[in-house]
Amino acid sequence: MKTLMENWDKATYPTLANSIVNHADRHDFNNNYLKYLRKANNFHKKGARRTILSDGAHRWNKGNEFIIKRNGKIVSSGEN
Amino acid sequence: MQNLTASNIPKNSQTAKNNIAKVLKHLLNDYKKTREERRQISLWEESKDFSILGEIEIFTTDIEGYASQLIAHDDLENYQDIIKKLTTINIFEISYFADWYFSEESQFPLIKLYIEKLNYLRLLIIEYISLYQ
Repeated sequence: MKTLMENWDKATYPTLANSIVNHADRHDFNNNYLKYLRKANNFHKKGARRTILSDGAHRWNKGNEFIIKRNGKIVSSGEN
Repeated sequence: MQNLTASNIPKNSQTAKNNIAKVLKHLLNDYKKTREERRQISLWEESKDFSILGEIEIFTTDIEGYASQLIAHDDLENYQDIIKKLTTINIFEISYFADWYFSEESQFPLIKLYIEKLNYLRLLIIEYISLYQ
């Protein structure tokens, strides 16, 4: 779990864990944080549509799923 | 209107913080109600070189992260930087976002309500820091 967490961006949250929990809860992974981390980690960018966001972050979208990364770290992931 | 005095500042500060926590909690529920609209926007933006959903997600992350900091700590170490950042991340200043938001006002009412509440939270945090930090 620690290795998976290291791929995440703390962003503006007080802690890395706080960021992950907030995103997981919003994207319907309440109390299943390991599953959320694994799902984000397993996102395959091949064939995904990439857009660059206004703050420079990159977003990949494939079907209903997306992932957002900034400076190589995951900022958010989930379903549209 | 009640004047701020040494005796009531802490109480007001806690009330303001409680309100921020409530809005944060509401936003979590509000977001879940927008699924159908998010699916529609996702299809619409497939042919665009920008992402409205991506901007909303980043806006959410930035604002909710700061709200979480404020709830977790009584004293924010870098509150001047936070105010500066919160002032610059006005989602309505992104031209393609504003074009989308104001083009069909009746479209996507739930996601637009969510964005307005999120922007309200941004302003609440700015107000809290300005008054109590």
